[in-house]
Amino acid sequence: MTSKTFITPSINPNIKLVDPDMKNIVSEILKIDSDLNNIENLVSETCKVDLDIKNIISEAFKREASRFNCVDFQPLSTASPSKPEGHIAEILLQAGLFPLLGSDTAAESYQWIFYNGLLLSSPFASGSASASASASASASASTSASASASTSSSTFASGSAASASTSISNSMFASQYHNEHLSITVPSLNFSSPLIYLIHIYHSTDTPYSSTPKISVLAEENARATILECYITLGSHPSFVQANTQIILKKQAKIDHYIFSQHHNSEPQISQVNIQQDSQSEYKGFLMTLGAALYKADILIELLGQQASSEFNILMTPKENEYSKIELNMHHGVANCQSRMMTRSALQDQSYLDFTGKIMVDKKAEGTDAALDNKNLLLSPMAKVNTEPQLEIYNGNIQCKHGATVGHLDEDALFYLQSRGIARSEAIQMLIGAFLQPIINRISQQSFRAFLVKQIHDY
Amino acid sequence: MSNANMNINRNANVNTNVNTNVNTNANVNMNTNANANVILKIQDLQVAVEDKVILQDLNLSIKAGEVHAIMGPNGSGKSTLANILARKEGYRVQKGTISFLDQDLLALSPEDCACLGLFLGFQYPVAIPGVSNIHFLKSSLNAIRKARHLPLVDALDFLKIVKEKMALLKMSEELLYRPVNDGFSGGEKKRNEILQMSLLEPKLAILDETDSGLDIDALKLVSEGINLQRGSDRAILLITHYQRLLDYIEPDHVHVLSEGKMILSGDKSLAHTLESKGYCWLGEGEPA
Repeated sequence: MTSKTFITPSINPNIKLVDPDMKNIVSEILKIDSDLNNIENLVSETCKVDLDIKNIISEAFKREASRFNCVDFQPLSTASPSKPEGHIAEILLQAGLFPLLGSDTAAESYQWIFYNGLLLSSPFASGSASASASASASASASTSASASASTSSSTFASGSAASASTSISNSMFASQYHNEHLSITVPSLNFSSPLIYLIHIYHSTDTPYSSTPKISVLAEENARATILECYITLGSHPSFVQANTQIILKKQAKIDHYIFSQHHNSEPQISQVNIQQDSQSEYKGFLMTLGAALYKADILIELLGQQASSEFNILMTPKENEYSKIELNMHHGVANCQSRMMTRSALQDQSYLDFTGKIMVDKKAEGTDAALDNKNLLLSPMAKVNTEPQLEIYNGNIQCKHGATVGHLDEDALFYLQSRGIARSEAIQMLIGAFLQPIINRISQQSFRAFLVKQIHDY
Repeated sequence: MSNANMNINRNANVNTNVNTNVNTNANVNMNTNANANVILKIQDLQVAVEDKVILQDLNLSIKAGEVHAIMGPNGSGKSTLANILARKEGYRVQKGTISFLDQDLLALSPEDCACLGLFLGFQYPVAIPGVSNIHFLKSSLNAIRKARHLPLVDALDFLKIVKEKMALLKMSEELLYRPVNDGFSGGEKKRNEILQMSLLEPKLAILDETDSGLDIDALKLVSEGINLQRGSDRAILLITHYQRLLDYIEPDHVHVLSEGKMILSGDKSLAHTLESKGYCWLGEGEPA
């Protein structure tokens, strides 16, 4: 029998879990009412933007409010989330994730699947519910199966996500789940690099939910892992997701991290990502969102140990009236760290993107090597980008570069392709693909790359 | 090929129609079924960019099996004509008609034109970073094949076809896997154009300054590539500054374009005359 001791990751108390601004936004959005003046005030307060941008944002909020018909989002802790219908495979299929999980033949994978905030399947739970076939999971299957079964039945009976609490551990991984907060410890295993799937599916048919999932990952010394976070919203009612992820990388830990969200109801979403890196650790992040009418991402990467290297890539393809605001901060706190940030966005229709990318180099961070590359493609005369690459440097002995461009499709290239018989629509797709290629090339996990490319293409 | 009865008509303003008539007569000798073999017919064309007239009173008829060359000094409107025929945007056709294989060319999109069998070899081939040459060539070939109701070629077959054609042009296979024209030398770009032409097998190939930027060896290769494309059901329109290219690709007709007007038409000897006397020679006969 596997011991059932909980190994709680030692999370640095200094990490800001939720910044106060964000709390305000969340609580305000939860009470979206028809009073648009309130919303406009909220926008001007929280986003501190110029008048022009403010108008656009308030327009976006107005559209939200009217489209959601003054939705009253219920926090999952007080709402009664509906039971999932059908087998887990059907749910994954419906969410469009099945090809991703099905195609994966990597040596080791662990899947956590959440449905409306409930933990539906975890790698250490019973085999029938879990699509994962992990050898190590089967060792603890007998014990955790009963635990998980009793928890889920009580959850559905009481209908409250707040009471959902499962915690499992085995010799390799430790994880704890309580009140939408999942903590995972990736142990020091320098011989394997497991895939960790964290899949959140929201399927609301009666009540508009709001969910605030939190994920904390502690990668111990020398630990290796690839993490895929997925947020998918389905159903007839909108779900509002505020996701918070923090990852702590100890010495020489190496983490590849992908965040993907797709909204089928144009729901708003807020993502917060907080990364802390110890010396010689390597972090690679990738963020992509499809279909969020309002999207805000705050990403903070802190390099706190020497010779740590970090990379963060963002791919955005907003369309229609979508509004996105992204803040990407790279903080070089110590000497000799390397960081690369790359963003590519292709904007359609009347979409709007507000991007701030900042490299901050502390006084003691000698020998920093940092770069920020931000390119935007406007596919419609109505699309708009506001991009602000920023450098805040307190040390002279460093290397730091940043660049931002905003452009249109090259009409000469389009004509060239057309003159060879390629239909204009296809030629446009080819050119967008070419524009996004550099960032897609940075997705090292083949199955994710194929999956994400397909999602972009279908979108 | 007999063009002996071709007249040199130096007064284009008045007698433009005579020009074409002369051409037609010449062609009747070559092609028994004249009308059915007209690939391109331009009548009374006048084109402006913004408010500036670039081409006017332009008439041209090209029949299957023929090679025409349009010569002229810089800024005479040669490239404009090529772009118009390939349906590039930004030009205003003020009057006149263009029919291509009995279709109203001015009503077609660039891709429709290409699918119908028109090919423009660019003076400055466009570099497209991020799109691999092989992907581009295959997409193009399959788009054209689809329009011609031919089965699409798969990657393996395509590779075989394209490598054969590249060998003829002495192109390095590595160019297949580079982005389209990106970082290509001038000669590589032009050879890539001729490669596309030989893949797509157009009914009418318009080659805009294909000789510019080529050294002698490359010029020979490219010319051989073009000559391979001559056929009884196909036509070629060469646009060039110099007579040099015409030593390798012998034209049936030579036209001279100056200040937007077709001021001279004749056989290949016209090219030699031009080469020896220079374009300023034309000025004498040109009414101011």
